[in-house]
Amino acid sequence: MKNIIFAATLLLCLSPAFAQKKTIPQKVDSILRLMTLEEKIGQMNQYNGDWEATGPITNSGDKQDQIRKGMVGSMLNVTGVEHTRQLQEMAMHSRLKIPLLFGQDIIHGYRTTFPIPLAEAASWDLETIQHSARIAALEASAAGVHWTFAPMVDIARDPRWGRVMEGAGEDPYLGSQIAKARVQGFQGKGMGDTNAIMACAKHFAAYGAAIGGRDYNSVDMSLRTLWEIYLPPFKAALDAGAATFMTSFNDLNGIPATGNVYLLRDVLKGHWHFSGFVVSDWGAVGEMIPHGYAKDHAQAAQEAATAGCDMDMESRSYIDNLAKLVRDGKVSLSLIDDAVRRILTKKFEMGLFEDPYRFSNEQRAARQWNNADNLRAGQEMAEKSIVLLKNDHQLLPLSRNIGTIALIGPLVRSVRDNLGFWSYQWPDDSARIVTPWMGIRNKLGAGTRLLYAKGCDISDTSRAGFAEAVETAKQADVVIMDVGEAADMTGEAKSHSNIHLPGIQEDLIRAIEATGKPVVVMISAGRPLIFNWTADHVPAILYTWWLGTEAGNAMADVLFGDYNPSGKLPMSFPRTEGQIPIYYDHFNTGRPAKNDSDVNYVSAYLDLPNSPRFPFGYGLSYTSFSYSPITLSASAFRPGGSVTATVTVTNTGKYDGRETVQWYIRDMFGSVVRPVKELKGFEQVFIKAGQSQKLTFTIHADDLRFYNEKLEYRFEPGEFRLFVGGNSKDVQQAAFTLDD
Amino acid sequence: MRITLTIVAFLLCLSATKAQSPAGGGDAKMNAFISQLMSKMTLGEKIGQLNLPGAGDITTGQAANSGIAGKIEKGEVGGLFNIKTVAKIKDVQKLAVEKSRLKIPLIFGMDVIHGYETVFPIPLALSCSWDMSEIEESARIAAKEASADGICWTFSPMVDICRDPRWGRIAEGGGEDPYLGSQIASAMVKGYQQDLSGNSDIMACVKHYALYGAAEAGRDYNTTDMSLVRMFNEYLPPYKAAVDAGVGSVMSSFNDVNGIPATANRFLLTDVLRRRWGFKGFVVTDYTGINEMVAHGMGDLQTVSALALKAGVDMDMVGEGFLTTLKKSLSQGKVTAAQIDLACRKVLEAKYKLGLFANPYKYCDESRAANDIFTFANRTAARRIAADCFVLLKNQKDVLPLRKGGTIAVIGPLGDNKENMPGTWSVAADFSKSVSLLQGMQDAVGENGKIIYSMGSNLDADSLFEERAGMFGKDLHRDHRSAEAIIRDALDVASKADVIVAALGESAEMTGESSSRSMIGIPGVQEDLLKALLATGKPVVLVLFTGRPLTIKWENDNVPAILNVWFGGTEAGHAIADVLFGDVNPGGKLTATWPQNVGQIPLYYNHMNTGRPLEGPWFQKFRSNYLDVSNDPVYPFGYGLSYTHFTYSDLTLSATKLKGAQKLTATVTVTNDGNRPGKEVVQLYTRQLVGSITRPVEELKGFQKIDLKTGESRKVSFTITPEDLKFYNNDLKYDWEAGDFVIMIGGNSRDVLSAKVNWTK
Repeated sequence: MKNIIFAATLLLCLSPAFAQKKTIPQKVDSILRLMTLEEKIGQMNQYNGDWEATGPITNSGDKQDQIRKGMVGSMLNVTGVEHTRQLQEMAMHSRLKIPLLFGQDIIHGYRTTFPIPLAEAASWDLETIQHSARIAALEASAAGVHWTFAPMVDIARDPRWGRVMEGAGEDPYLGSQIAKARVQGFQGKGMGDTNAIMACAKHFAAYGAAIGGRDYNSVDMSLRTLWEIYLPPFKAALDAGAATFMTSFNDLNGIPATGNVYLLRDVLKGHWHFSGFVVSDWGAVGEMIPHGYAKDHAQAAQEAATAGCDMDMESRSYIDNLAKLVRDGKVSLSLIDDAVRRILTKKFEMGLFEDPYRFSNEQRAARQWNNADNLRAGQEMAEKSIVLLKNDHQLLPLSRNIGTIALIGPLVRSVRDNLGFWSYQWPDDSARIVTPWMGIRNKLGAGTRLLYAKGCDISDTSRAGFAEAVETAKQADVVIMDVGEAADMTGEAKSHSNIHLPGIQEDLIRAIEATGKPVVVMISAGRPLIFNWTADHVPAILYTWWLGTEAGNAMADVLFGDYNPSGKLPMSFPRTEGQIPIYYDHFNTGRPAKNDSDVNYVSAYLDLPNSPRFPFGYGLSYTSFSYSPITLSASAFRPGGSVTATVTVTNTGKYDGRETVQWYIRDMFGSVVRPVKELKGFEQVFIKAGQSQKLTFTIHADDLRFYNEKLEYRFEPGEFRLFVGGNSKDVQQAAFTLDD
Repeated sequence: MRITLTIVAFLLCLSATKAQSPAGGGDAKMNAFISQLMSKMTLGEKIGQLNLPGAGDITTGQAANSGIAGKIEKGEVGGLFNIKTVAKIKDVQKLAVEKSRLKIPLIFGMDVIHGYETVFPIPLALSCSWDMSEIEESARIAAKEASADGICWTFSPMVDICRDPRWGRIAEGGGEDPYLGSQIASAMVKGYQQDLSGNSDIMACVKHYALYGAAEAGRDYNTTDMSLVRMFNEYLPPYKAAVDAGVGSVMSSFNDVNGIPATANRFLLTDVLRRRWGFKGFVVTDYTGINEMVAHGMGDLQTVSALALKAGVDMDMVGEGFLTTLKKSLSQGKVTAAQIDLACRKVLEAKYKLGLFANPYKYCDESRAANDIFTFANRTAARRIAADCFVLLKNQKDVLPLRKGGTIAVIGPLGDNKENMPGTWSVAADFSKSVSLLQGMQDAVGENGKIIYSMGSNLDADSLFEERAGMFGKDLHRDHRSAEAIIRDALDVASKADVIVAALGESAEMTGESSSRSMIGIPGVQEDLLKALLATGKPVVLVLFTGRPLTIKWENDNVPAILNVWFGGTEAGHAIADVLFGDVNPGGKLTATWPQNVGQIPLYYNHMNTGRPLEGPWFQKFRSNYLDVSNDPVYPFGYGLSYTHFTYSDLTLSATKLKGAQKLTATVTVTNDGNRPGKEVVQLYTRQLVGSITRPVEELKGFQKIDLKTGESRKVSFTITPEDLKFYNNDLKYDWEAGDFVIMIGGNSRDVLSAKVNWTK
């Protein structure tokens, strides 16, 4: 007993929190009591640091003065030890010395750029994805950043939408797993750790369903689809502890997300008990005026605050109007207190009240700058993100003893395009970003001659460079092409109605292919593109997305077999824009087409097959894997029980390789119609050439839940089909029953 | 509580009375008759009334030997469809009223979609006339002809709002706008039904309930998913308008709606249709709609049949799910006798309303066919109406109208093709009697000029595609020579002409059911032909045949004159010639937006503003727009030119501040400042600037089609009341909200004069 008391006393001495005998809620309350209404609203106000803007910039005016007056709770786009310290010092001159939060779009890396999120999703490697977010947090937190506006967890079934590059693709299950991995990566051991930054699940909600794939456009869907498809990754982020959420720009079923009581108050803060805070997207509170949902900034502030948006990013609707709205009785003070309490709680959890400068640390910043471990991790992530779409006659991997290789295409020597959208530009980029050319050059010895021709620019209309490219190709034993999108072609406000390979690049591929030389095409892009001719005629295709700082090294590793590609597509690739939206987990309809040539009086087009060009989950390896039939531990089970499926996967090729084994389930009959397949689990295995591995998957009744007509999350007894395979199309299957 | 219920019941009765005006002596008499009849019916006979098989192979005089005869005699059939001629129908009806135990007459249905033997333009074309009296007249004539052939029930009007031109069935509807769609729904129902008393009044069936036009990715039969506010504001109004016009039957659609197939959707079929709207008629499924719910994943045939009945389906088309499973479901307690009785009653009521109990042969007057079908008068009406449906998309330097003289080359795969003129869903048409463009132009010019012809290209390079696009005998006369050889011939012919009329576009069966396209341009071989024709330097008029909006940005940029003629029906060739030569000045206006490319789909005029609208010219960073194409369509909703020109001026409002039930009068002056008389559709749009939900940037609220003489000016007035400002709010309450509104008037949805008003409660 005595010992215990002694130990407790020691702990109290060690921990300032205990020393003050106050919990965080108590501390928050005690500050709240000191705050004027204006100071409270100041906490709900976030300004841009004018470093980079992603929307119409509001007049910066007297931001610094307002910080000193306690009228600003957070700044975004302020990074670097020096800048953050400067601004934090201003906040320390405010009456209550409440520290600022520094938020930043750390989407796929900071100093070390990782592959774009959609590419990372193609790895299906949750550990590596988590590690990628962890390194981003290490680098950013050392530069004074407290808070990243990531992960973006919007399900997207429309590749026209430029922001597909920021997410994890079309599937709610994969999206949920990745949301969780990213939140855990950013937040590390948890708030309070100096290298943990707050995650922000965005954009809440359903932003990915923008009509016509046009950014910022309206969204409309049934609540069932919202719950079934679009909300799960947000719930997963929340369950993983995401500290903050961001509202989306779009209106959902007639109500802008930023003023949406159902989404923010009822679902997020009510049903889900979210205890963090909600920030608007850039200017989104004020944008409820053009939405036609609010007549002015005052009404916009009222709607947003009432709905549960705690912080106003850059629209100034709160700072200019909320105090009066409270005084006029239009917004209750308790709502303001709730919002401020949520924000202050995070500042306490981050330890900023103890040391407002704890993230602005020169030594840590220096350690994370050009950190070799981080770069290696970036390369590993990049290798795992590459998807092998085609490899006829085992053209890949290439031998390192090839005499002459021609590198052709506008992206071969492109530098910053490798980073993709939402990346940071640094003065030494051209020296440190590994281009495809450099990566391949580094890989090969002096015995291999490397030739280069650009052929054309990404958006070119001129074929002037074709002749030179063809001549170059003719001199080579093998041609490697890198074509695709420029980094600013996909991302925010980067929607495309036409998602074919841009410009005349496919014509360039034709011209090169006509030389008869073996051609490997790498496609670097931020979204699924359409390249039917290439897919039909070129023997080897790698989808390389935008891979980040180490892009070229990762490509070279894959091209020459030092890494056997293992990526799998997280989105369906359409044959034409006219197939959009196309996704694997569609309903069967009443008149399903039996196959791609079945068109009469079935759900099909007259002019092309229903199937995508490449299905969800698809990706080849230099080796091949075969799947045994599924064996089930039982053909039926009851709620409370389970059934275990076993499959043997054999590496039937010549290389050791990694396979992502995907488990899908179909509920054959439901009280509402159910998708033809739903991803329910996946496992990555490394299998040596010629070896086999047994994998099991256990199904519980809970795995069979869905939202019924009344939005109850229930399972229903009946017949089910289990599928397993290396993609969503080529699968083994077995039937089982859930009994009453 | 009890009082509340009584009031609700009372209200329901009131609305029902308002909605329906059944013939044959009022509800009480009918109810008594049917109750009395049903008291004699066995369960099997009741279920039999719910059965609607296809007629199959019944031939005249052989009904008694047909496969279906035994079922009819046993009382297992409630009606038949796809059977025509009085002789056959009389034969079959005879079986029912003479051989079946209770002598209950059959109801005979058919897809009479846009005319019968006299085919009118496809419905999408008809909608472009914006002429409700002509649309009603076309339905009236269709009813007259069909009834003369023994038919008493048509599966029309199709009123599905559609914003996706990939969907082939856009051809069958009234386009993208709920207000215009509602006017058309009402006109069609009136045209078919009148008061159902006469023997040329047939029962209409509004379809496809509901939302079929929102099929995902424009792929036919595909899933639909939307919020309830969108459903009520944008997709349901035309169905409701048909109900308000007294439509006798409703067809459930193939698609699932938010996860529940329409055919098992109790919310749609009972809660909305019957309870909210007071519909008193019967609900029939689409073709095997019940059976297809097995594929939808709703259960086996017995389960889905029970689901359909419980949801509110009364009649099962083709699949016999009801016939083969309802007894079992009843015995297992999965459905109730009351549910079967209710469905049976609805079907019997329809027959009663049609007067079939009074006279089962009401529609079997042998003398009528010869006098009423394909008459000169009907064809004359079809020609007049068709000409009013064509939309002049472009007319640079007044290339049109053409002179009836000189040499005119008609070139293109649709230039001399009778079979395709009627368009999709022309099941009663005799293609040999329809008028091709070539023939129409020859008839018009006579001896005054020379019309020469060459096919110029096949419909499509791909012969398999062409097979799919030429079904139901709508032959495309494929030329098996090389595309170059075919074009060479055409250029030879063109070289002899003063002007070239290029007859290009889609074949009839490239739209319609199961005819979705992912890419909606003019097929490549035809584009090659068009380019070759333009290269001759001669004036080229593109006469565009299509059942949907096409992506013709290139054509609009490069061809001097484009007349969109859809599929004009029996008299298409004459009607097109009437317009080409200026005997009729075109006045049609588009009812669906024409996108620049498929990547813009869905593109529609009544969209929301978004939080980052594109204001000013494309492109603007961080605004809702694409990097590679502007937000504009090639042709906006409501667009269409005339050979003359109309100027809009002086929009005046009777008040700019209004309160409560006051009326607002908006007046505009329209002047014909061209050089010939013409028709103009003056369109009224409103916008609610701030709402409790986001509101469209424009909503059509009225239109007037006016005739103006050369040089004439006219003031056109619209009266607007709060009733016009109502919409379904987030609680699905239909009401208006105080605030600022923009009133817009113009000749299309893009070019409008506007003024603002404030309206308080």
